[in-house]
Amino acid sequence: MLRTVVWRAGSGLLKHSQQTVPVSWRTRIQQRWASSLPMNTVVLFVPQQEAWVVERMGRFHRILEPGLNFLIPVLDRIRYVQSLKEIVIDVPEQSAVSLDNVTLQIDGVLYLRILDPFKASYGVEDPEYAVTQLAQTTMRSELGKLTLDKVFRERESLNANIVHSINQASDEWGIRCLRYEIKDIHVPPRVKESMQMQVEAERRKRAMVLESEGTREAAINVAEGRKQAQILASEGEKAEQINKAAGEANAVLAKAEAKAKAIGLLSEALTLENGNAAASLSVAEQYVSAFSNLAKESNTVILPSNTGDISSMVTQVLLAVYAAGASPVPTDPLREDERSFTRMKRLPILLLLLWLCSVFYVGIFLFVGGFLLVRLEVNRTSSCADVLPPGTSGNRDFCLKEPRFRRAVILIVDALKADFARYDPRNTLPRPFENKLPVLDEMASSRPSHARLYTFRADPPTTTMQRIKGFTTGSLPTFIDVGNNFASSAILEDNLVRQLGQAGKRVVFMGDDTWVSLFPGGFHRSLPFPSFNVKDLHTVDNGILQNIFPILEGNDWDVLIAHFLGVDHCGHRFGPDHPAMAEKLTQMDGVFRSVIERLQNDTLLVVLGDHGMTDTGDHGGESQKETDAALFLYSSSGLLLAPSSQVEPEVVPQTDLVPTLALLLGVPIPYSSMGQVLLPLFPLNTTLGVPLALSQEEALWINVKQVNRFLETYSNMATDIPADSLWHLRAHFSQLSSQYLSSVHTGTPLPPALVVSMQEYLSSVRETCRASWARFNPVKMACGLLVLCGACAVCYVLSELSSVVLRASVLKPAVLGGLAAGLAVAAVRLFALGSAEASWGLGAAALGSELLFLWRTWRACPRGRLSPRGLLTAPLLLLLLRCASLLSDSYIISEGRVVTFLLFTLGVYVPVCLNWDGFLVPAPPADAQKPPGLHSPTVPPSTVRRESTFLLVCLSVLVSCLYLSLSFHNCREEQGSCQPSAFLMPLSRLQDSRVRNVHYVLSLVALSAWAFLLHHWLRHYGNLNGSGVARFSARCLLPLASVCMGLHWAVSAAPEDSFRNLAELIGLARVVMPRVSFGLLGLGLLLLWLDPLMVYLKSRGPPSSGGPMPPPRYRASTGISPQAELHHLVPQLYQRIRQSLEDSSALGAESDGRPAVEAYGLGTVYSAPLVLICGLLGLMLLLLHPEGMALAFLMLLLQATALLHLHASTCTLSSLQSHSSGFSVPWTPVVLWSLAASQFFHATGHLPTFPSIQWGAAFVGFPQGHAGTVLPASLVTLNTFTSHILFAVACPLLLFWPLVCEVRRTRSGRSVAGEDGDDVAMEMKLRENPQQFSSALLQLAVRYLLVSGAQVLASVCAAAFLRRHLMVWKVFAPKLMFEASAFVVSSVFLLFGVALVLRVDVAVACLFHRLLPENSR
Amino acid sequence: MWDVEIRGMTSAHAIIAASIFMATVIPVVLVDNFSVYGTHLVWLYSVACSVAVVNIAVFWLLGISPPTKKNTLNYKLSRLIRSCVYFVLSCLFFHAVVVLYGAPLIESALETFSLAVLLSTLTTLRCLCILGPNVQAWIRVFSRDGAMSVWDTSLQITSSCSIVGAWFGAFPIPLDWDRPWQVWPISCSLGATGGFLTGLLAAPLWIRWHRKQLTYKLK
Repeated sequence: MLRTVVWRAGSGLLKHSQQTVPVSWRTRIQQRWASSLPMNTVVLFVPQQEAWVVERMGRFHRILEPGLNFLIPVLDRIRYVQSLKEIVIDVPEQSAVSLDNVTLQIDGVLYLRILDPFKASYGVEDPEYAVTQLAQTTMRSELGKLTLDKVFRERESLNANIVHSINQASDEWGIRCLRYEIKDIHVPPRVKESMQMQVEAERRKRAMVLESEGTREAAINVAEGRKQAQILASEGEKAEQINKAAGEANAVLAKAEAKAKAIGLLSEALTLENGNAAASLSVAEQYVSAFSNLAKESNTVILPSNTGDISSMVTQVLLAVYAAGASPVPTDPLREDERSFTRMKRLPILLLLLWLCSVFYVGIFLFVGGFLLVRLEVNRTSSCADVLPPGTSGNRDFCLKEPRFRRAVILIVDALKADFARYDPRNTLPRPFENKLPVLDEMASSRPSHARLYTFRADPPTTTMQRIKGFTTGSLPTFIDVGNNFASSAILEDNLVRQLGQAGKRVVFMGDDTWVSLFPGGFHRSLPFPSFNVKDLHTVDNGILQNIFPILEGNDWDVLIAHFLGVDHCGHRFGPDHPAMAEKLTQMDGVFRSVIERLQNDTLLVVLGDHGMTDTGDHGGESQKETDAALFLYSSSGLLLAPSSQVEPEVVPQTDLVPTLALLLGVPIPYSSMGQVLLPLFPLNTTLGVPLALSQEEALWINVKQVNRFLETYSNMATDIPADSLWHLRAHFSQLSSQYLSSVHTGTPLPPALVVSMQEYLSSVRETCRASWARFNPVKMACGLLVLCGACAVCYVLSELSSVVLRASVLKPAVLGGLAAGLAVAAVRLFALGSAEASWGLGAAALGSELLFLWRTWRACPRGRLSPRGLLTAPLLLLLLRCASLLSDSYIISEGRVVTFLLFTLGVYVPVCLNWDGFLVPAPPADAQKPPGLHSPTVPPSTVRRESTFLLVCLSVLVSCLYLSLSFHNCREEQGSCQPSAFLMPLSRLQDSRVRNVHYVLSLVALSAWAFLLHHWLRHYGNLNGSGVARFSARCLLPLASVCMGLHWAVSAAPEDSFRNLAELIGLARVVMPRVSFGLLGLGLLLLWLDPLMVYLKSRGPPSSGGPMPPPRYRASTGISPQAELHHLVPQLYQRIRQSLEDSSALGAESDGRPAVEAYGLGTVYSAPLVLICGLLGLMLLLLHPEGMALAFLMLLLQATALLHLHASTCTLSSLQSHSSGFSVPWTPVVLWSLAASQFFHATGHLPTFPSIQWGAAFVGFPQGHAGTVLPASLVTLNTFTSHILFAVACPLLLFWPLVCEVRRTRSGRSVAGEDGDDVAMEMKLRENPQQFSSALLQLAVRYLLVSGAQVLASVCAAAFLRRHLMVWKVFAPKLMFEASAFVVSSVFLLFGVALVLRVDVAVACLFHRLLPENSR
Repeated sequence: MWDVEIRGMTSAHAIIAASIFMATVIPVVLVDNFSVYGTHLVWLYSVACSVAVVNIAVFWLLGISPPTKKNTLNYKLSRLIRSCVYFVLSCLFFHAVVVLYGAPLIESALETFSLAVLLSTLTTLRCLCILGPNVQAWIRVFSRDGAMSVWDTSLQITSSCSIVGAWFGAFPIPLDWDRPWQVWPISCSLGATGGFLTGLLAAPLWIRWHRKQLTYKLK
């Protein structure tokens, strides 16, 4: 209707309506609604709560509803715009006369609303004006009916009357008047004065009456009180006297009874033989002692009249003694301290977890023991005098003929890949590693009978020590040796170096110092150089170059071995595709040239690479890039046959070098060599160019016999070669030997088929051994599998029944029973077999204790608590999928993405599930119509809405972290078109300085964000107040360590060439900076462990006067138990913290002596040290990573926080609407947490393969290498399992976070909750319910263990079931090793986290002990 | 009453399932070189179109959609426009979700978007048909006590089956089997369609099985 007033601006026709409007209210409305009528624009949007009245060709057509509308142009026209909102109209002041003729000034407010726009538009010209006028007249007439006093009293009815009469008239206009309120009534001043006086008199009267009444009541009360007091006093006296009398009577009775008993006893004793004498003696003694006492105490002694009369003395003394003994002794009643409230079960939790972990370890140990390859070393040596069976007429085999070469130079270039040695003249744009060794190709092509270049294929694992072992012993080092690369121990098997020494050759060695520890005392002379520092490209090579040429020219050597490391280190440091590699290879080229120049005719030159390298410069695995190295053979006196004369081997296996070199140099082939002689190096039988040397056939025959001898020896020692293949091999050998012997016997030349057959024999032996040394022990594997299954079952049961298990002591009998079973098995085996292997005993112990535990828990558990249906929840099904994915090599290869996919799914599942339960959106308004009480506490929808918005925000953070983390992944070699993340490259490897700077700045930003977020969180929850050890580590150590790390990165990123004059300083900084950071962080961890309380207690007096402490506000009288005191104290303490933190301005106002104790940070007493420790640990682990990973670490922090908040919001939402108590953490967050650990394993650039281990971590802070092996190994382990460590330590946070987040929830409802501190106790709730706290903590830890353990179980199953799979050694076995190690590491750190929580609990208990006594009195 | 409703729903579902079948068969005749793997996008859009058309037709004829307060043309038009906007938004939403799940961001954007269109057709379109363009009602339907009629329950079942089917469809992609249906997004769209068909089949059976427990609030 207001619009009707307004649109006259556009229409002259209706202008008159404006004139009628009273000026007083028209102006205001004009200001408010000064807009013209809307035009007909065909498509119209009508706002909510408005109705537009449309006329078509002047006639009313329809009313437009809010929303989209269409009108016909020209014909249709909007005539009126009616607002359907409630309208307030000010009715102006007017005078009226009351019944008693007093003139009053009255004004009012009118509330009305248009119900029918049609009637409002067409029923009346100006609805408001009409209504206002009506209201005014009605009011005037109503007032005339009332007297002045009544007007004031009956305002309500007056209003109602006015509304009623207005409504009667206005129905026709489509208007409803909702309310009419009188605003003010002005009375003439005279009348007002008299009214005031009247009121005053009234008040005075009432006051006087009240006063007199009070006096009367007081007198009565005093008298009553006196009367009561007297009555009570007399009653008390009466009771006292009665009690006294009763007590005395009892005492007399007791005395008499005791006397009677004593006399009886005495008389009994006296009747015995010599009883009399004994009695006399004792009485005499007592008498004497009594006398001496008497003498001591006073100087007056009363002596009996007759000292000699014993009997009278006895009666006297007895009487005296009785009198003394029967008097009531004032003993203090032993007031039992009533502190029998339940306490936190710290030790049982830790023991249970320890036991569970050890059961898992036993399972893993058993399985791995049965699964991983084991090869027995044959400790026999060959010698010149050996006669190999079938011996022919006692010929010595190995020293049959003269050796072809007297001397040999063996140049080993570490990681000389096959590609490096090739030379392609057509390649005009060679990459840094191509075409840099032209000498090899030059020699091989120009002098084909003197030089030859082969591809030299190593056996996996391609780590340097295994390869040295491989090409000196000729055997196949097994998979399990991988771990020994750090611990170079001497080679015990027969090897080439030993044979050369035995033959009297002077072996001179120079280069990689690994050799010295592998062959201690094996060299005539050795010049070792430190090898372990991967970043050092030149030390070893320059050391060799200084020494090699003088020695070569001298005569003090027969075999010279030089091991160059520069190429390998260059690969590790820069990768092959780097100018430094070109430089290095060119240097090697020069070395080869100079060595060739200095060679004499009797000398053989062997240049070989021990393994290749991947495109990133690493090695260790079994891809072709890693296994294919180069082998170059050269002799200046024609060594070989022309290449065309026979079939050239394309690829030479690495083991083949051993027999070849041995026979060429005339030493026995090492005993356990599996190799095959390289035939082109031996002359054919027909061309007797060198008559004395071994021919091809002879060499091959010796080789065959030697391998056969080894095979026989080995099959006698061990049973792992399958019998049938052994039988085949033996048959083959006997056939060979009969053919060979017969042809030798007859003197006919050997048929070529025989040579081929011998070669086949050698290769088949090699293949058989290779296959059978993948030897499994199925029983052990099954046993390990069983133990692991049992452990998982125990975990599940324990997680469902943690409180039951904690209450009933189940563990002790289980462990004892298990130990007994283990000992029994060990004993039986000892007696039956004569030897007891530890693993069987361990297995039996683990299995026994598991079964006992399950059985006891089954008996202790209430029926129906445990059902397999609990397993069928979405998070556990997802875990099942994850485990199933470990059974497929494809899924393991793309594991990072699989885990991210599953995590994403589970993350999305959270809100979907909440919505399904109806918790996500506020309860629908439909419920409001129902009788309240269905939903007991009505939660304000705004709270629910805010909480769910927060949840969705967390989810989006989680999702974006997940998505971004994909860009930090490394690549497996199986993933074809995959580019490893650019951030994985250490800064020193980046060549573009701009990219380097950007990366550095990004890392620095991430680092500081990490530190800032931690600091901010701690400060937010008040954990940084005051001074203390833990605060010190948070405030000082954390930033200091971050600064150190930033400096360290800067130093290590600085290019070496640009600061040559500062080289020493830089070198020093490289050592000092990381060590200082390690030290600071370690110190922080230590301090936190020693004093984990991050609580600041402050006793505050009145701020102005430093007077005595005000009395405590909590009523802790002596009568209340400590438990009740705690209940009272904790919320108050917390309340203080909240207030002092939130409104520091209000702090002064309310310090009226009320607060007694302030405790800052008590609400996060458990989580704060945990968060801080995770932060410190995270920095420490970040230091071990490439600098770019700082971003991934930041992502990890964000994602972990998002997960925690997601969990907290879920808890809040579900607890808001359905009250569930208890702290138990559901499966979903635990599975999310554990999957996130796996995800960040990948997102920090790790992969479950050996080549991708970041060995560089061992040199952070130790650029010179290590003396021991423990430190580097642990550094690499820490680096590899970073994310597992962080997530395991932080796991208890899942329990605390919903409590921590209470602040957010209650901040909104604070006005409602008010001073009720119970809602904001945060983590103090845990302390108040120790029983629930312990069971929830145990449950959480066990659930986490189960989730990790299930993954181990799955990879164990994969390895067991797929042990003949093509990919078992490439995919499944490494995955198993990584998964098992990850489990071990994360369980250890989980225990650490749980132990830290318990440590905090102890500290909190101490704090309260200290706090309560001194403050409660 | 129950039987009538269930029977009606079963026949509607049967018609929709038949339309998917026809959408697979008819292009074989019309389009050269048609195959589900080879010309996957053609198949995908033909299924999407047929499901959309049949759904709209069936629900329009049956008059399932909530009674409109205003029966004016404008109101209907505005509902139609809102529905279209919601459909497009849901396509974009599904596209984003699929990318976050690990689909390539740039390379096969068309394929990803087609999958999003299919998923929207199988889920959002049915929501639009049954509940109208009312997001609050959609959120309500996907809660435990949210279903207010047999059709709501069927919507719950079919939508979740389609999405779970598409989710399962992603499983074979990383496997190294080199099959033609492992190409993105064939397995996912097949999974979604399969899930949808399963949902169509399962919904009447489930409702029949649980008709004793089902109590619908009155609207």
